[in-house]
Amino acid sequence: MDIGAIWDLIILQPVINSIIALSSFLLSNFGLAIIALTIVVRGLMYPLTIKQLHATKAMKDMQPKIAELQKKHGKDKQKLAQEQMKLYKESGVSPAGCLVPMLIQMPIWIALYQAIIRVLAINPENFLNLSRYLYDWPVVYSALPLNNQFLWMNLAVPDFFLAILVGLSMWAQQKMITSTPTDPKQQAQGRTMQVMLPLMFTFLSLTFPSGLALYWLTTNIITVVIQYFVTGWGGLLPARSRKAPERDKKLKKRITEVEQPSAEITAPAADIIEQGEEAEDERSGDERQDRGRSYPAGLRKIKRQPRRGRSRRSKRR
Amino acid sequence: MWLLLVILVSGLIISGCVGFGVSQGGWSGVVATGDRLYFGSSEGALVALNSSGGSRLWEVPFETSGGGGLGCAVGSSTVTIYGSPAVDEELVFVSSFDGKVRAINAESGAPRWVYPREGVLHSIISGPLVDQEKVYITTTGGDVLALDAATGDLLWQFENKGEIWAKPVISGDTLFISVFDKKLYALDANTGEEKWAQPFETQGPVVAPPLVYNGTLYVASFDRHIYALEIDSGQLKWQYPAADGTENAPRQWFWASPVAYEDTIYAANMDGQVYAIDAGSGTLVTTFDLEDAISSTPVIADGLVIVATEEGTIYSIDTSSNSLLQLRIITGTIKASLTYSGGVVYIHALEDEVIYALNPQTGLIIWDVPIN
Repeated sequence: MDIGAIWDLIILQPVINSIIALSSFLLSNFGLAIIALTIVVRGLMYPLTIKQLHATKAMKDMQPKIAELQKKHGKDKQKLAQEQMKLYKESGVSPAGCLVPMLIQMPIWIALYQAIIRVLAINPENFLNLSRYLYDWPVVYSALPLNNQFLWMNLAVPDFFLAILVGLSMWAQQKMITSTPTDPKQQAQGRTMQVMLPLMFTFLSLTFPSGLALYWLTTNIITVVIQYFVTGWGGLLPARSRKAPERDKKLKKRITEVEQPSAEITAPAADIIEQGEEAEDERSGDERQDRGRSYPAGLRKIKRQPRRGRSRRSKRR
Repeated sequence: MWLLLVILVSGLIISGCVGFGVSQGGWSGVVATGDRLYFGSSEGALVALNSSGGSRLWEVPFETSGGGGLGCAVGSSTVTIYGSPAVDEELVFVSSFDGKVRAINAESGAPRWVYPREGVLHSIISGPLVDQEKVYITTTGGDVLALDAATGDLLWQFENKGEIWAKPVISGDTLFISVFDKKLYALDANTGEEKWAQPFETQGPVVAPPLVYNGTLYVASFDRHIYALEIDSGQLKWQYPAADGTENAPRQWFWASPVAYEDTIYAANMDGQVYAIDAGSGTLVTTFDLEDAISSTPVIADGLVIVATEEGTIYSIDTSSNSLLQLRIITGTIKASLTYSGGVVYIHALEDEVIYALNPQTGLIIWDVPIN
C-alpha cells in the first residue's frame, strides 16, 4: 500500500464521511457541516494549539534574555549555544514546542481542505472520484447530493464578501500574535507579513469555492478566540485605548510577592523577573499589553522549579 | 517562514490553475452512424472519424471565455464535453459544460446553429437526444429543453429544481428524465408537461439515463438500488435489492445505465460487480466480479455483454452460459459509454486519449487512433 492510499484510508476517508454524515444531521446544510467539523477538529487539537501558543509566547518573552546572551557570547558560538540551551532548560521552554504541535496539526488541516474540495464536487470528475472514498453507511448515501447553498452563498463558487471576511479575520489573527520589534528592519518585515498573508488568502478565497473560504473563516475565528485567552488582544487594540487586564494586575501582585521574600530564594528568580520587568519597561506599548496567561505560565515555571531546586542547592552548599 | 509561505501559496495557486482535485476532460462516448464515428474529445472538439480505419475526417474545436484560478491566464479556453453527441440525417448535435448546444453539419463539420445564441445555459453534463426533428437537452440548472433540430429554436422548456446530469430517454411520446435530486419524471415529448401524477422518488441521486425494456422502465440510482417501474404510471414493480434484502447487496453507486438482454438486466456498479437481475421478478440471477469500479455503460454485442472497468480492462459476459471472460487490458481510463455497431465495439479511452475499435468476440484491437 503506497503512502497515498494510507493517507486516504486513515485520514481523508474518515474526514470525508464525517462531513457528509454531519451534513445529514445538520438539516442537510453543508455550510453548517463545514463549521461543525472545523470546530470539532480544532477542539480535538486544542491541547496542541494551546501548547504551541504558550511555547510561542514563552519564546517571544525570552527574546530580551537571548539578545543579552548573544551580546555577551556573540563571538563564541559554542558557548552561546550552550547558554541558550541552558536558558531554555531552566525556563522549561522547548524551541520545538512551537513547531511540533503545528506540524502535527498540518495533516489534519490538509485533510479537511481536501475533503471539502472533494465533497463540494466542483465538476463531474470530482464527484465520480468521491465514490471511492465513501463508507458503506446508509446515511452517507442518502445525504448526497449535499446542498451547497448556505446563507447567501453557493459554497461551490467564490464569494466576495466571504473573501473579505477571511482577509479581515486573518489580519486580526496576525495582529494579535505579532509583536512590534525594536529593530526597524524587523518592524518592516513584520508589517509586510501582517498585510501580505491576509491579502493572499483574500485573493485565494476569491478564486476557490466559498466552502473552503468558510473553513478558513471559521478556523481564523477559532484561532482569534483561543489567542485572546492566551495572549490577550495583543497588537490588535491601539496602545492608548488598551487597559491592563485583570490577570495582569494579579501577575504584578504575584511578582511583587515573589520579589519580597528572602534573598536566598529571590536572587536567581528575581534575575529573570527583573529582567522581564526591565525589558517590559523598555518595550513599546504594544508589547506591554501582550501579556496573558502564557507570561505568568512561563513565570510560574521559572518561579516554581528554581525555588525547589535552589533550596536544595543552597542546602547542599 | 517566508519559504513556507511561498510553498503554501504556490501550491494553492497551482491547485487553482488545475482545478480542484481531478482535472476536467469530459468523457464523451462515441456515436456510430453509417461509416462515421463522432465523439467529443478531451480538448473540447467534436471529432469525426472514418469507422473503417479510424482516419480523421474533420474536427471542430469549441472555445469558451473564462479562465482558471489566481495566477492562471484568463481568456478563451476549451470546453468540456461529457455527453455523447447525437446524430440525425445531416446534423450532429453536441452539448458542452459551458452551457451551449451546437448543431454541426455531419458531412463537412460546418456549424449550423448554436443555442443559446447569446449567453449560456447552466452547465450541461448529459448528451443531447434527437428524435422526430426535435433535440432534447437537460442542464445542471434543472431545465429540460426541446429545440427544433433544424433551426435550434426553443419549442418548450420544463423547469425543475434539481440538477439533471442524465441524457433524456424517449419511448413513444414520453420523455423520461432522471434527476440528481432523487427523482424521475415522465414528460410529454410534445409539450413538456408531466405525465405521471407525481415523479418517482429514490433515496439517492440518479445520473444514469433509465432503460426502457419490454414496457418497463429500469432506473439505477446512487442509493445502490435498481428500480423497475410501470412505464405509464411510474408505479414501482420491484426493486433490487428488495426492501429487506441485504445479501449480495451492491456496495456502491450505480453510475452507469443498466442494459438488458433476453429478460435479464445487467447493472454495472462502482463496487466492481455486474448484477444480473431477472427483468420480470427482480430476483438476482448472478453477479460478475470485475474487481474495479465501473462507470461506463456496458453494451450488448451479439449475445455478449461488453463491460469496461475504469482502469481499462474489457470483459465480456456470455449471456448464454453466464460466464465472464477478460477480453483485453488497454491503456487509459474508461468512463465513456461503450458503443457497438457493425460487429465492432468502440471505446473512448481517456488520459492518453485513444479511440479503440475492438472485436467483441476475440478481444482483438481492429484499429486504434490516438486523438491528442
